[in-house]
Amino acid sequence: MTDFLNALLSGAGFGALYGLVALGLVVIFKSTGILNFSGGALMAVGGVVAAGLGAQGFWIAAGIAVVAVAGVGAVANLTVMRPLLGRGLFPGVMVTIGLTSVIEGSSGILFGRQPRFLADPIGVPTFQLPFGTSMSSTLAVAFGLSAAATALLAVAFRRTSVGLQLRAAAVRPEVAAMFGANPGRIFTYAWAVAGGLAALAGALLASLTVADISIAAFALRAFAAMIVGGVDSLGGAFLGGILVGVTELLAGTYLGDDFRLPSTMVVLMVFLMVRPQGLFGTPEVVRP
Amino acid sequence: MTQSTSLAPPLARPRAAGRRTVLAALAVAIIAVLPLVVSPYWTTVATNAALAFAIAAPLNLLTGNAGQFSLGNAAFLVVGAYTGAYVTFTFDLELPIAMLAAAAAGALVGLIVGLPSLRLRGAYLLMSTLAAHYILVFAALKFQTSQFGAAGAIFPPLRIAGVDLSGERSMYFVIAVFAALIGLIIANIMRSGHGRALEAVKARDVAAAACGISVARAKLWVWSLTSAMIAAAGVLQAYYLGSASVEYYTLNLAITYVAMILVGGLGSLGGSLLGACFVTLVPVGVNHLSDAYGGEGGGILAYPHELQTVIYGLIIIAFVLLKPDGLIGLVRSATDRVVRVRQGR
Amino acid sequence: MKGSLPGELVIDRLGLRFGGVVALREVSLTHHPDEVLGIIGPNGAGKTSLINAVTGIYPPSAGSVRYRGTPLTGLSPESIVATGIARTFQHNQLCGDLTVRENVLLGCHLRLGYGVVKAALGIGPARRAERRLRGEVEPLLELLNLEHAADERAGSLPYGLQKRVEMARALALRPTTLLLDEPAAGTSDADRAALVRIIKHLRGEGSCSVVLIEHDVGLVMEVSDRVAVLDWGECIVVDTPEVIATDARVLAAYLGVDDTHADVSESA
Repeated sequence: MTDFLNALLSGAGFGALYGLVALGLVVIFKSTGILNFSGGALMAVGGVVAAGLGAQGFWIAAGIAVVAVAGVGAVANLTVMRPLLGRGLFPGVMVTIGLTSVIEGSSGILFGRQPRFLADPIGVPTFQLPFGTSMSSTLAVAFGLSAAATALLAVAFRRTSVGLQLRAAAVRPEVAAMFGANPGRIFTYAWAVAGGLAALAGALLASLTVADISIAAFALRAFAAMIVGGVDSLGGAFLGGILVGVTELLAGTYLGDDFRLPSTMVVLMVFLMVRPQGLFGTPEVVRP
Repeated sequence: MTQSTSLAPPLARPRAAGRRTVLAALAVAIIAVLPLVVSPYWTTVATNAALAFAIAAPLNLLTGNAGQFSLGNAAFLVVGAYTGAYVTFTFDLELPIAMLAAAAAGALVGLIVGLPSLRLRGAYLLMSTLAAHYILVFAALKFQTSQFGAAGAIFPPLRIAGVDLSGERSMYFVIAVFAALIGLIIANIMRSGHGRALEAVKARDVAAAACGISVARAKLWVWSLTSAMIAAAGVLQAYYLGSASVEYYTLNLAITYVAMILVGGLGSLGGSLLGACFVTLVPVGVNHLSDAYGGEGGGILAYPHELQTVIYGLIIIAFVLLKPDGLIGLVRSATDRVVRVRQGR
Repeated sequence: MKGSLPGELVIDRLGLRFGGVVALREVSLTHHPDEVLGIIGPNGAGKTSLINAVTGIYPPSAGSVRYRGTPLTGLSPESIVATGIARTFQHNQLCGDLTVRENVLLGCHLRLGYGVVKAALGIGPARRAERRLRGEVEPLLELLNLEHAADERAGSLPYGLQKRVEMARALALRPTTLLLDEPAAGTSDADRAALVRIIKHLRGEGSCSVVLIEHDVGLVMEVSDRVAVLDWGECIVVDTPEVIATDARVLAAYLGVDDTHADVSESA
């Protein structure tokens, strides 16, 4: 029972991290239609940057990493992503894969190969909870930050003019442009937001485990989170992340650690087969 | 229709049959003579390129011609390698039989992995191949642990009918012959009505159905056939590497083959060949640079691995943005120019 | 299919809806052998929806379609094609990267006569079949004046030519009934004249009956034996062109006099 509850708690925490990355994927997919494979690299480089600034404490280091990686996202959009608008799935996926390579390689060249560590966001390493359960404080912070980021973004999408333009640009870029929206600038915002969210996840993961460019692989679960939640739903990305994280930790607890990643992929496959629009996404209406 | 023309350089153009024969004869001559004139090092490079082609070409038929964007190829390789290893070790069979068994397993698994393509398209279909990759590799891991032990399957030196073929040069010939066979089969399909049907399935599935083409059947056979070829190649690859272990069959490996068809040219057999050679040569080139100028205080050349990663990424980005029809597009425009000059236009 | 008589298509109380949107409501129509049946109607009347429902692209939500006694409802698009019904599309559905000839050859797919294995081995039967089919499409390319463009990429052709390639591809199926969806839309006067010639040719040859969906009412009146008028998803009248031309309901439909169905949105 304690194992079960612990798995739920940690799963929710890890899931919130996947949710952060997935949120970035959704923002980009929603506005530009590009399926971004570089979420993991953005996350990992965020972790590496934050850990490099570890002497400043978690929050300052993470803040700088978020801003820096948001910049990387914006630059990526301005240089290589923008020409791809409207060119379909394959080019976008391949360029973001190329981007992943460039980011990962550059990170090694710029920051070295040695793994780094980052302090916990708050002094207490773990929270002791009822029924003998406990939760890593970093995961609890991750959960809170992820929920807050999702809520903030959801409000921003609905209430602010940038959010409105993002939504409009997603549906009909040419119409949005007609009404004065500047899709180019808006897509840059989308990429910056995605970069920042990924970096935040990276910093949290760095303080949980270790900051190394190889943590990029963690973000694969973000794809599952994105599909489970629904590719165009922000809240869905968060809840999808939680569902994927909890599945993963339960599989890890009861089946063995090597079942963790495959279990998330099974969830992904099941959703694709049974409910491809996810929990909260809009079903695709196919009409020729 | 979401995956429209971006995935779609033209099918083989109508060419004089005579020119094709000449090209084929030339290719055979080059393949046969190559290891006799180059150093063993370059024979190794050529072997790697031939093997890469044997995997990239079926992938290109699936992705470039039929429009089924897949990241499942590394998983098909491991399915092939382990089926091959299992039948070889258990029944003491020869390589060709092991490859046939691997192809059969690959065809079956490919059929299953292709099933989602009947309901999903675009990003969703791609995600399903991603999930399939991890699920299959995990299954392979469990199979490896139970059958071969933690280190994976160790392959004996290659012998066919009692003849030792494990030397670098004989390995090269075995792999080159297999690659040529794959190339021939794919060329035949692309030239046939079934190849045309694939183009229709990719570009216009509604129109394909209106021509009486069963889109579902076309998708399933192409998934099945290409996976069978990749699985068969997986056996050869494992023999060549001497062992097969799941750590080798990563998503990055799968992406490497996609990069080859992108760089070479989607939907083109010649493109698969050029892409396979090019991507095989990138690390070779970087290592040479690094050996020559790297070392102590060699700046970024002191990071050959990272540098390779960056260059590889830049190549992918550059081709998508600047040369979406790939190297074969360069070759085509060059030959067109030559033809035009010769005709005095 | 060669040599068989052109067919009879019976559409019985066909209904089609997308969610709350009604595209077709109890449409009943009979297409007699040998005749050219024109279907006209204002934008959004359901003309294209009717073709899509008949050819199985959208499963109808009510009613049935029979072709020479065979029920088509529930069959897949490719099985419906195999019964002898071919179609063209309102918006071109050519494979832009294939040549014109290859596009027309796609229409021969049901007569390939060899499987993937034979194709892969590149052996005699496959090669002979390809030669035979290439011979078969030549007369079609000629009929539609496409010989000079046969080796061009279909995507590089002007719109009017592309429409003719579509028709050649549909005819390559050797249909007994041909459904043409707005073949004249966006084409030149010359293309239009060619279209009239071809429809009359098919009519005269008697190998294939034609259902013509068209916005150009004049064209429909010129070539059709009978004309059906669709409005708001309903078939309001079917009669000879002469009668249709003077029918008040048709006029009302086109002028939008009757606005009581304004809650039903477009779906063509």
